[in-house]
Amino acid sequence: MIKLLGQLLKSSPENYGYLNATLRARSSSFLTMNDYVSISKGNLRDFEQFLLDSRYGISYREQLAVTRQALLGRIENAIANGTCLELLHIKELAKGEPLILLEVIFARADILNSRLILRALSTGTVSGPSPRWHSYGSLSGSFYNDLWEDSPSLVGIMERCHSKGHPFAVALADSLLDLQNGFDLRKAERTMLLGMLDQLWKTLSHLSTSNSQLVRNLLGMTIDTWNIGIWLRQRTGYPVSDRTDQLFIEKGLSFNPDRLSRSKAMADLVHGTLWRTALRGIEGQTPQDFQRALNIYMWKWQMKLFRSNPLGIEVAMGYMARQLVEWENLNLLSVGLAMNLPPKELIARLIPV
Amino acid sequence: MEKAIIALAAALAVGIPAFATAYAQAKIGSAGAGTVAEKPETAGIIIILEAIPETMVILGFVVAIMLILQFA
Repeated sequence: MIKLLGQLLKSSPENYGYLNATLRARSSSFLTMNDYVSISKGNLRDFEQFLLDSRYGISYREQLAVTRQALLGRIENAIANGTCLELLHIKELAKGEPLILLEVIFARADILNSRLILRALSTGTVSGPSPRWHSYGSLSGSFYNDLWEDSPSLVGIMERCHSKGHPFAVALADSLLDLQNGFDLRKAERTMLLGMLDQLWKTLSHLSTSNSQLVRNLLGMTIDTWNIGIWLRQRTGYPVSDRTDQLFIEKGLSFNPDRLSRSKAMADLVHGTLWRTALRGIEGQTPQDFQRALNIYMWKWQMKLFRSNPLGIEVAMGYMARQLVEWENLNLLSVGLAMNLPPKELIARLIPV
Repeated sequence: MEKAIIALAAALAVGIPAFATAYAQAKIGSAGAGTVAEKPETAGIIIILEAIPETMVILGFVVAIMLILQFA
C-alpha cells in the first residue's frame, strides 16, 4: 500500500498544477482578433491610449518616464518590455521539471539575440542603436546590450563571451570565430545554433517524461525551419557554394540532411511530414512566403497546445507562443499605423489568434 | 478473530479513500491556489472543487460505521 502510494507520488513529482492554473487564469488578458481590428481602425495616439489601459500600461508609463524616444519607439519598447517581464514572471512561477523545460523553450530568446549580433557584425551595423532584445532567455538582455554597445571588435566580444562562461555565450564566441576566419554568415550561424542545441539536448537528456519529449519535438521543429531555410536558399537563386549541403543540421523532426539534399521541389520535401499542411495553398510564392507560412504554422501548433493537456508543459508552451505572437502582432500594428496603412491590409498581415 | 477482521475492513474502508482524497486535494489545491492568486473572484468555486473529493472519505466513513454496527 505504502509502496503503491510512493509510486503514485513519484509518477507526478512536478507541480504543473499551480503553474498551469496560474497561466490559464492569466490567459484571459490576451488580446483577441476583435481587439486587433479595433486598434487597426484607429491611429497611433489611439494605440497609445489602448496600451495605457492594457496590461502593457505599466511598461508604457515607465517608457514615458525614462526615455525621450518618439511615440512609435516608446510603444515598441513598452510592448517588448511588457512581453519579456511577463515571460520572466512565468519562469519565476515554475519549479523542478517545468523550470528546466521552460529554460529550454526560452532558449529561443538567446538564439534570436545571438543571431542578431552575428548578422549585425557581419554587415557592419553593430554601431547603430540597440535593438529590442528578447530578455527572457538564459542570458540577460543587458549582456547582449553590453556586447552591442561596448565591444569595439570581434575579439573583444569573443573575450566577453568566454569570460561569461555560459554555454550559450561560448557558442556565440565560437560562431564569431567563424566570422573572423572569413567563413560565410550561414556557417557562423550554424556553429552558434549547434553549440546552443548541444547544450539543450544535454539538458533534456536527464528527462524522459512525455513533457520533455514534447520539448524535444519543438527543438526538432526549430531545426526543421533552419534546414528548410537553407534548402530554400539553395533553390531560389541565392549565391550558394558546393558546401551548402553541409549547412543542414541533423536531428530535425521531419527531415534528415539526406532527404533535404535529394528533394528537388518543396512538395517532395514536405510530403508525408507535418509541414505539408503548413504549405498547402501557397505553392508558387516567394521563399519569404514559405518561411512566413512555416513560422505561422509553428506558432499555431504551439498555441493549440495551450488547451491540450492541463497538467503538462503544453500550457506553458502555448502561453509563451500566445504572448510572443501578441508581441509580433502589436509590433506590426504599431508600425502599420505609423505608416498609415489601411486596416484591411494590417489585419491581413497579422498572425491569426 | 472475527471482530479483528471487521475492524480491519472498517479501517480500510476509511483509509483507502482517505489516501485517494489526499492525493486529489493536493492536486486541486495547488491548481486552485494558482487560480485564486490570479482571479480572487474564483475563490468560492475553488473551495467547492477542493471539497468535492472529501465525499469519498465521508462515504468510506459511512461504510465503516455500517460495517461495525452491522457485524460487530
